[in-house]
Amino acid sequence: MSVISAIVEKELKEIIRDKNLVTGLLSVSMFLRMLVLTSSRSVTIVMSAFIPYLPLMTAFILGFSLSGRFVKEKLQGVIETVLCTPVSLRELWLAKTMSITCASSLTTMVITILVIALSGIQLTAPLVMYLLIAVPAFVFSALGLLCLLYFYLGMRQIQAVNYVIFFLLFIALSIILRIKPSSKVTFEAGIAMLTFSVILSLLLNYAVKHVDKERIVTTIG
Amino acid sequence: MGSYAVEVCDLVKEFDGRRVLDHVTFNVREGEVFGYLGPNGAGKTTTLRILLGLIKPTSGKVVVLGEDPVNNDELRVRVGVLLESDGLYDTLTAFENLDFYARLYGLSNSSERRERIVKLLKFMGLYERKDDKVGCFSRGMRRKLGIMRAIVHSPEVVFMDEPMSGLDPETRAIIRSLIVKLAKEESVTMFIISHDLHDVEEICSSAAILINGRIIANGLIENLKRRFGKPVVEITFVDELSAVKGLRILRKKGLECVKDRCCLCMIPEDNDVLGILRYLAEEGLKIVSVKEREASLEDIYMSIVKEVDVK
Repeated sequence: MSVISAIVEKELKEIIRDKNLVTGLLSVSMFLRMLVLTSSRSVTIVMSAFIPYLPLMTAFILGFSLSGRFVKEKLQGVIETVLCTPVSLRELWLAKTMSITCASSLTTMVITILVIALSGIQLTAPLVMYLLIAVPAFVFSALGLLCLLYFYLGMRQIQAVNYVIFFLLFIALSIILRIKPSSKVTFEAGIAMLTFSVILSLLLNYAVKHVDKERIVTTIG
Repeated sequence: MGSYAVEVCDLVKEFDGRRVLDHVTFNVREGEVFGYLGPNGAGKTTTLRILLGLIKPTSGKVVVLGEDPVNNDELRVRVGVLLESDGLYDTLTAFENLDFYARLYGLSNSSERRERIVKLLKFMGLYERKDDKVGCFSRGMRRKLGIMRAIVHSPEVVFMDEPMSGLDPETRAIIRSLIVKLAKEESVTMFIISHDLHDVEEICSSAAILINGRIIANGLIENLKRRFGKPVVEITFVDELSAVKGLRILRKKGLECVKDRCCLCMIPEDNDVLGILRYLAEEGLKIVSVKEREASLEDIYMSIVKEVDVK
């Protein structure tokens, strides 16, 4: 546990100093701006329709942006040195995913609360549960999957995955806006998302034990 | 076999059917400084990765401190590593980097950790920079810090890949003395991969030369010199231009030489040295001095590499 806390502490320190979060926020604002531009409706209407998806997308985009640090570590070969320490791959994966999830979820909560306050949307119990539990859980599982892919893939493949994720996000957001889904968050939806996230996280936790260090080392740089 | 810190027996490694290591066998005694030499692409880093348990051998056996290095977290605590990448985080300070790795290696007591880190930083002359971010360090400073990182947990074996690269002469001397001190006083086994044969000759007691995935020479450096070393003739010219001309002339005559400023070093084999000198003088080259000396590790290495290339 002390090893995991050492890695989480280090990661958070780096995230703050590296100004990764600022870059991430810029990406989020750019993304949202592009989204608003694709819609003919006003910003307030877009945002209120978008409120269930805003924290989810913001947290994921932030986390996705922060996960670039993971790729950098692999590109520079630092990960090889870390793999020579007594840290297991599972601990490393868990600590990295946790730190990115923490940073992105906390920032997302602040952004969402601001948006809610400015748009005059009522803060309901399902929305609070969704914000505090379901979204971080989903982001953890999604970023966990991304980190696992970064472990496993070579640099070119990682680049391709990143492009695919970016376009999928954009398409998903455009579809959400076009089909005008319900803007209400329900307990059922929150619990379904939480269940999916927990199952995916457990599967990833199992899968990471089977990642071969040789695969990581031979795909460095 | 108990006195060996590293045992490599009949090691073979293939990547997609391409053989990178071909029946490699060598041992490193406990407390010994061992040099692992070879040209780029010879398979040195692959051997190191196998010794560190990062990759699995295709066949053969590797034992480090009496244990199999694959998936062995307990062994990792006893091993220190300095790879090609120094493993440092740019946004963390020198102290934070060392502290982070010390925690990973299980040094849980923060005051003990601090004491150890301060001691190392002072020894390496980096104490004044302990609160500076590593991102603004020079290559040499990073390398020094990387070495401190490798030994922060007081390992029993340290594997170092090019520890001296990018260092100034003063720092090289400090590192050399540190390596020798660790081996002599604390019985730490040092496994060093290096291209700097002067350094290797100075600090290592034994070495292995790996070429194209095969061990070509292995043993105590003194024994290697006796076995492979032929006397070297060192010809000093009046200026560097003459040395360049001399090099050209001797190479045309099929003699392999190495130029170092105004000096040419050659292994005369069966050639008549006096005849060669006379020939150079006839070509109008002014020779200042000629002396015969014992072959250095570099001479041995060059002749072995050349021999393998010819074959």
